[in-house]
Amino acid sequence: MVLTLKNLTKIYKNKNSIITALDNFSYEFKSGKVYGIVGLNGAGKTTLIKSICGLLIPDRGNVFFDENPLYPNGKNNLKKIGAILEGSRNIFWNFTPLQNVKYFAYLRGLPLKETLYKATALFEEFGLSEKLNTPVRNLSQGMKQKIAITISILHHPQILLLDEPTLGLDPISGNKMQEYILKFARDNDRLIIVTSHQLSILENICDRVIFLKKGCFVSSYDMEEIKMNSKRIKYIIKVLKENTNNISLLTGMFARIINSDNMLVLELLSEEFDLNRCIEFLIKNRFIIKDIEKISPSLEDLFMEEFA
Amino acid sequence: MKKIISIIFAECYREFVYAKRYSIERLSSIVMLFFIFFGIVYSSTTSFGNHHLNGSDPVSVSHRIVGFLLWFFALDAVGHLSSSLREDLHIGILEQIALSPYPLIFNMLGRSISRLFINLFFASLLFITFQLTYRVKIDIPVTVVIFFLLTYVGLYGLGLFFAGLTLIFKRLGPVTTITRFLLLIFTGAIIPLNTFPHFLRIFAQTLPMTLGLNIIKDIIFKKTSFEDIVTMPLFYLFILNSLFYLLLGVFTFIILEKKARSKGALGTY
Repeated sequence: MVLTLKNLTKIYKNKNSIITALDNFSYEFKSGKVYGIVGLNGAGKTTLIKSICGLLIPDRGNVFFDENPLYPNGKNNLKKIGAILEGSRNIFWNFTPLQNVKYFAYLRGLPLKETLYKATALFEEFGLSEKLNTPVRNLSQGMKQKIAITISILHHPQILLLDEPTLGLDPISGNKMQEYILKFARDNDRLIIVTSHQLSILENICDRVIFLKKGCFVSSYDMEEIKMNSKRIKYIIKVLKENTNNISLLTGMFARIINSDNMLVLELLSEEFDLNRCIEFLIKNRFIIKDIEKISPSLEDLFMEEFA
Repeated sequence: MKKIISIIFAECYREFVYAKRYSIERLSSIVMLFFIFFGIVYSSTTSFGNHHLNGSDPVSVSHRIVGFLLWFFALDAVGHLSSSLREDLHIGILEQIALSPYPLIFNMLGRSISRLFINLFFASLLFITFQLTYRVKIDIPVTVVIFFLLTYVGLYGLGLFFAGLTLIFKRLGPVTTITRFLLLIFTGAIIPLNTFPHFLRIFAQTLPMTLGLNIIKDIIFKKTSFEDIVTMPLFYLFILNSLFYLLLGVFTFIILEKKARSKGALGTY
């Protein structure tokens, strides 16, 4: 399955303003991969997600499921989508988890017995088997989110859209959620598109990230490509602060020099200076090197580079 | 078709879960309606001046019971779709429900059908209580069901119209409340239509409940047969009236759902 977005444009018009939430956005998403959409607030991430799942009709452009366009008459394609939407409840809080499963099973025309069986197994996996008949409103945020995820995949969607899926989750629940998202994508060859402001989560689960700025496509990177990009690798070199007269020699070579009690912490950007040359220089000038640490570039570094 | 029936079934399931969970609230509103009816009948027998009122004779009371019970259905048909959509928008579940290849109008149909069955139960309770309280006996011929359903179709159309408006304008509570009371006062449910001035009688005929109530009362109290009803011009006017409100509701809802999807209004309150 290939999901292709072609020239998606959405403009919100108010009495006082015109906002272009999506501006000619085009991209091709492929099955079995997890894509992250990254951008500042108001970049158009939620508009993009909602345009893909038919909740927001774009002004221009179209969404193609393989070759089939969603607009104007391809709503059948929506059967292939499951979604968790940010700021929405996604499930009924006055219902129990099982009542939610029953409602959404009927709504999507799924066989009830089989769906209940599958949902119960998933709830068990999420540690919710004792809460099946407890109203959702009495459960924690993490449990609610797990139930929402379970409900969103009841119909075996080929595409799963997750808008801020780990919002409000504690680190343990967040990690479990990440594991589950990854497992779902890999085991079932599904396409997953995630938006999140928690870049470390995207870094853990995404195969590829797309940067969005004011509704426009900015760039996209493979996560591996980001981590292995030697130009962005930096080294933290710690030297003993004995030879204080030579400190002035270091300025210009290092991106940052932190002067602590008995140590100098030097930050070397690999794209600016070669590590070996740098070490030779330090030894030659009688600096005593205590430690060298290699820091691979993170998504956050890239984010700061793109948006700061 | 199977999928559409499944959507209707989902909404029925949801309504029954709510009805069970909030049964005390629903029962309280039934008690409240009983007292409203009691007040209406009692006020028709009392006077602040010297005029003699005789609104508690068995015929008047029986007419009012039938009118009030039909209004009881109208109360829900006109306002429930709008209020349940408003609740969905408010709690933020509507987008998840709308994440389907099928238009939301099928969800509305499901909600309406389930509420009809739930209200039939409560209306029966009221009907029995009214008959026992006022010591009247009202026989309901089976043919009434057909005309009741046709009336309900028109009322459901008006409900859909308001539901469609709710998708865009959100807070329509006061408008539906005004409409509900218009239907109580101007359809002949509790006040005989012949006491109105001519222009109000004309206005009353345009409302979605008046003609249906007239026909239902003819069947119950004048024992008019089905064959006689269908030969009356009033019957065709009634069909046109119900059809008009149904089409008004369906088209308004479909157009405004599309507009709401364009504006991204399904997820905002």
